[in-house]
Amino acid sequence: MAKPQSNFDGASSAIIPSTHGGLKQGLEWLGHWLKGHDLGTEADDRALLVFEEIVTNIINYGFDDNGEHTIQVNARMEGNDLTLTFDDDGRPFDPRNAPDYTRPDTLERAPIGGRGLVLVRRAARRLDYRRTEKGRNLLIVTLARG
Amino acid sequence: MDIQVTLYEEIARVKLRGRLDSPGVDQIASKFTASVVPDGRNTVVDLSEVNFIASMGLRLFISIAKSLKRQNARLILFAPQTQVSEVFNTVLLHDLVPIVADEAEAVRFAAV
Repeated sequence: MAKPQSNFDGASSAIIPSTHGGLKQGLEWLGHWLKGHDLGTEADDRALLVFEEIVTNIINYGFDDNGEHTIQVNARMEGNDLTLTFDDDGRPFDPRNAPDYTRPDTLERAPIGGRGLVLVRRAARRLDYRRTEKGRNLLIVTLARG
Repeated sequence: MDIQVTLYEEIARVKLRGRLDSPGVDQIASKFTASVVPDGRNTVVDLSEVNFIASMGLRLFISIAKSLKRQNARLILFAPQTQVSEVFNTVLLHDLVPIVADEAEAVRFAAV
């Protein structure tokens, strides 16, 4: 299970392994956190979709080695916004600069993957990214709460 | 996530229930693929009880559609719920896989 860390200001965070098992743990953690905030199915699904796509991307493409890594995740309500923060020590990756999805002309030519970030961009109100001085990726995704 | 496969002479009908997120796809991908790909049957997929999909679910559908296409068969999806339909529209899935309103239309599509 992810290690949850609740703060007094209403935020909540967890540290999950950068594995597919870690993704499952993270989804359970976020689902539990969302249930406590009663935002409604639409907002819950938007948050869970973004969480899954970002964490999957980090797990699949973030690391050059087979070592153990963790992802620090945080969920917070701020006014009318729900923000999800992802903090990892993978290779630098700014999803705002990822190439746009290219519409394939046939099923045969269509790639099987590569659509996760399209869904994130569509769901998010804003994406903020910076590479920290400690060499970590810090991605903040802002979503509408309703 | 739950999967129910019914095989007719030329068509496979697949009923999915639950969330097609990464853990959900892990639960059904092997059975789904093994049930329809080796025989190359036209396959209609009932999504009326799938209430969530993420990109791993899209990967599953596109992968199976490509495998069936190589055998001159088709994958047809029908009756997606709101969130699922929005995801399909965002990634223009209808360019690759037919998405129709109900089973009767899906079966007609499979027979074309």
